[in-house]
Amino acid sequence: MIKEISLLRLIKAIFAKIWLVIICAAVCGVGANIYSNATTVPTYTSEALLFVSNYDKGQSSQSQMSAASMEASEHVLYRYVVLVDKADIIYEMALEKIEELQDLCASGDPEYAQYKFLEDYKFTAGQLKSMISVGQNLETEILSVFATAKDPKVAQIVAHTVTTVLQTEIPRLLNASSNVYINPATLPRASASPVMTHTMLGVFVGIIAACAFIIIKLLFDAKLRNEDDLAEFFPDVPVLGVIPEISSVGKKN
Amino acid sequence: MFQKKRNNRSQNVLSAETPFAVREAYKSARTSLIFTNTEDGCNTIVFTSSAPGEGKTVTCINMAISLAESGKKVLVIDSDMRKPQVAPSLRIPNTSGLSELLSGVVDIEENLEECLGKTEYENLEVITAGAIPPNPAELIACKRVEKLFEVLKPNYDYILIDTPPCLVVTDALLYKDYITGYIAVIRAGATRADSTAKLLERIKQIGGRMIGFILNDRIGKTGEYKHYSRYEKSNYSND
Repeated sequence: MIKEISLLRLIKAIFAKIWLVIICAAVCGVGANIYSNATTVPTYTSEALLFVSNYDKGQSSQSQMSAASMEASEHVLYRYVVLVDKADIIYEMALEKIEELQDLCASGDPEYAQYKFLEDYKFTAGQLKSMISVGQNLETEILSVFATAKDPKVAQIVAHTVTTVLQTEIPRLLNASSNVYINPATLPRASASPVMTHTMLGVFVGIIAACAFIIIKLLFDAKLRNEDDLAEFFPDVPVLGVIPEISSVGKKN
Repeated sequence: MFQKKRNNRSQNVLSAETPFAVREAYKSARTSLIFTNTEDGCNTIVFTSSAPGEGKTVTCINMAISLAESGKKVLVIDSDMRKPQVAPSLRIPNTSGLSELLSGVVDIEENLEECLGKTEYENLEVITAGAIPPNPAELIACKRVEKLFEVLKPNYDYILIDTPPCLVVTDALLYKDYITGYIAVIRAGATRADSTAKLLERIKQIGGRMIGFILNDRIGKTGEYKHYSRYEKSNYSND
């Protein structure tokens, strides 16, 4: 086994077998794509927005919001994030609302017929919690609530329900004077599919695997291929001559 | 495939059919050898390798031919008394040769001419291996070797000795006290660096002098030898 190998030799070896790297990357990428398509269930993510403002009703315009008021809004926003993550009561209350919708739909009330898609679902508070994630933008005091589900309509209704609970219950829980405005949860059109990510990962793994194979083969390949190898391994011994292989120069005409 | 290549050894000997690039490569090696060895008198060089099949015999013969073509008086000795290849490569009979000289069957001073073979190449003579003896190494280690070189050296500018692989048998190493140095033949893509390192170590251990490498069968990159065809078509090839 060769104990030392120069970086230049390594790079040359990889470029000499670049076809192997390309083929390996393509095969792994295609394989990852096929596997991902076969095993991944598409999911949909709905987003609802909460605008958290510590705005005082006595102020006539937003320009008159004090710095202290803005800082207070940021603190409230942070507490919202923590509550969404930790407070199970939020999800228990959201579950109650969803079950109420399911009952109203089952009762045949035409006003709630649009929620018919919920009748096959039996949620738990823990399931609702696992579907929810939040994103905050401190500079804009906007809290995004994301709900992910296999059905886009389910994602939308869960996002909307949880956000509605947040809007009404958190100011009560925090005993805060925040006004919270809600932007309705969107109906997701495209699935948040990880297939492309898996495919790119497959390509990356293919490249790494091919390079690793080439490097290992090089480390264990101690054959002298040209005068550069001789000069590298045995710098003290001169190369008197390099005789070409006859087939590489052709026969004399 | 390997056996087929061995049988074509004679086809690799320099001739009018040899590609220009190959002939020029040997000439270049010849020039390097001449300028590397600036000793007065006869330069005696052993051609060896680490393993069989690396092209020692053909390289030794072709270097001898190239030196002879430059006007030097050259003698090739086939010291591979286990698998002699010089005679079949040059298409000459392997009658009395080195084994007879070293065993005393042929007297070195009186009947040396019996073992000197002429070739189709001017200035080039050959001592073939002779009959295969049961004890090649012991023959080379005997005192007659010294006597043999005493008689031969005044008559030649170069004596090139083809020997068995250095890491297989010790024959090549036994010539150390009578020669100028060693040339190791390396086959591109076949000879291993660790084997070559062992060969150099063996030569160093006995105090031998390493003249250099000759890299054999080196596969060129696409178009590398293209420019040789232009020279071949011009007068540069007619020397």
